[in-house]
Amino acid sequence: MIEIFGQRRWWLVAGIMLASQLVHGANVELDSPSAPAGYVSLLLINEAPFPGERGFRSEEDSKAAMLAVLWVLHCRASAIPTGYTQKQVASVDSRSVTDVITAGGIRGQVDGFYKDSAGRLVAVPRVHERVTYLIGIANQGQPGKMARLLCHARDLARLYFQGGPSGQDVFAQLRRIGGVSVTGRSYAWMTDVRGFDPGGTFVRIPNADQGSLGGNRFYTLEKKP
Amino acid sequence: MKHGTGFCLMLVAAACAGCVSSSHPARENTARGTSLQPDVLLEKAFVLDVLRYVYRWHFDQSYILQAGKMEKLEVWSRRLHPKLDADDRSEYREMWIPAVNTVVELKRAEYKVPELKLEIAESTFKVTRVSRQARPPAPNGQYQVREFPLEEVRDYLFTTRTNQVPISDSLRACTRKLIADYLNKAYPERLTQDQICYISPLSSVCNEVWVFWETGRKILFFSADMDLTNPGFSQLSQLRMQVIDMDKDIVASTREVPGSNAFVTKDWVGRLLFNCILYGERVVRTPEQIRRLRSDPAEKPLP
Repeated sequence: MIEIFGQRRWWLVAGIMLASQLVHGANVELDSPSAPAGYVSLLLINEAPFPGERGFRSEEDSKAAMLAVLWVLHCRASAIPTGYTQKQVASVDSRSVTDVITAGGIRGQVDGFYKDSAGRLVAVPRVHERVTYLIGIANQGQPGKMARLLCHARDLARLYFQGGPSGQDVFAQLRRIGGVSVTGRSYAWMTDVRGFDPGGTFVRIPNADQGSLGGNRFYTLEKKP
Repeated sequence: MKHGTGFCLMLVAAACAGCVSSSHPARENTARGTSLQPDVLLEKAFVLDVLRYVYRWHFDQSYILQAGKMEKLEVWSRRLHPKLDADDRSEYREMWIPAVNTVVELKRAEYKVPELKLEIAESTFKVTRVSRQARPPAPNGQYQVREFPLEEVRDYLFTTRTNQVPISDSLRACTRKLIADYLNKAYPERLTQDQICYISPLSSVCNEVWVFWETGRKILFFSADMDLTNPGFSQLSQLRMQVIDMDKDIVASTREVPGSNAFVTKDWVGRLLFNCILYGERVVRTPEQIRRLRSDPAEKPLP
């Protein structure tokens, strides 16, 4: 009996090993959204289109959008241009990117991301629903674009808290848009649909300057004398 | 009616002005430096559909330029070459309408999403973005150009300005599912009064559905990188659905909340409501119908 059980167990182990070689799941795991890195990655995933979604162009484009969003947060927290106060640009006085994200509450600077009454980092349910869904489909079968995009957001956020944005700011050298002198860098992004506009002294970055990434439009600031 | 006529005439005036000022080296011939094959974007029926979409959703008083005397409307087109994933066969084009300084970006999506076992293979180009700028985005020589009789364009836009694109059964079913899914998530409690929605007028040249939920005082925006009738549309458009709360998300000017991405303007919402209410499809559902819709979105409601 023991021997038979042993044989069966051997076959079971062999079967599992074989199956794991045939179908190797992506096993994407994200950091907890209650921790800063997990919260930032939640935002990056939320702001970038995945295959099939409106605004999707390519994996590289969506990854570039994530990095550009991270740079906006970073610049709002740590690179306010001359002539502006951080309050004017980001509606907050803080060097923390999570404070920058949650500035203004649930309908504040970043729609749907805010701190609850206890000061915890939270996002509206639709954000979590989408991310949960994406993880679910990313973990089906072989690792693909979905899994790579999720992991990219997670890793960008993790690396940010170790040493800042891990990639080039494509808007850093902008100095002029049309007839307007600008500060360089990007300080806002919006869904690239008519009717959405950040107002103020934000200047739309045109396609020729890579202002459209991942279905989002990025904005720099008018240069002040 | 009176205003509609005036508006259309002003559009024509705008078009005339553009034609007067534009000068394109490839107008008489095919474009230099581009494929010599005729551009599908410049086929008349397609151009008219795009113009009607832009007229309906984007044109406003600021599009009106000084009147001119040209009899032709120019439309320029060129192929775009963004870097795509290796297995992606999508095509991108750009249309430039000099008369109104408008850029229309278009995409024909063709790629697979293996994780969803989904194949996207659009047969036609869809508008992805409309924007205005002073000059064409690329040098003139990169475009193919076609002229259309202005009077014909004017007549088309005027006579079709209130047209509804009939909603197909599959699209109606898809929209029902979108609304049911949204209600199930956002309002799981039983609704006790009739619910009134307006589904925006649809266009064959874009993959967007706006729904004005009058009773709930919300505007819902569904869009995906595929045709509305694709089975994947309802699934994927849910993920990027935008909800505009009419009591909280609308401001007179975005200058009131600079830098925020949470608000839209009253002007823009006005256009949206106008289109939904006047040219869209009004849908009224009783609490009982809503209950059935929630339990089985595929079930056809009683008339």
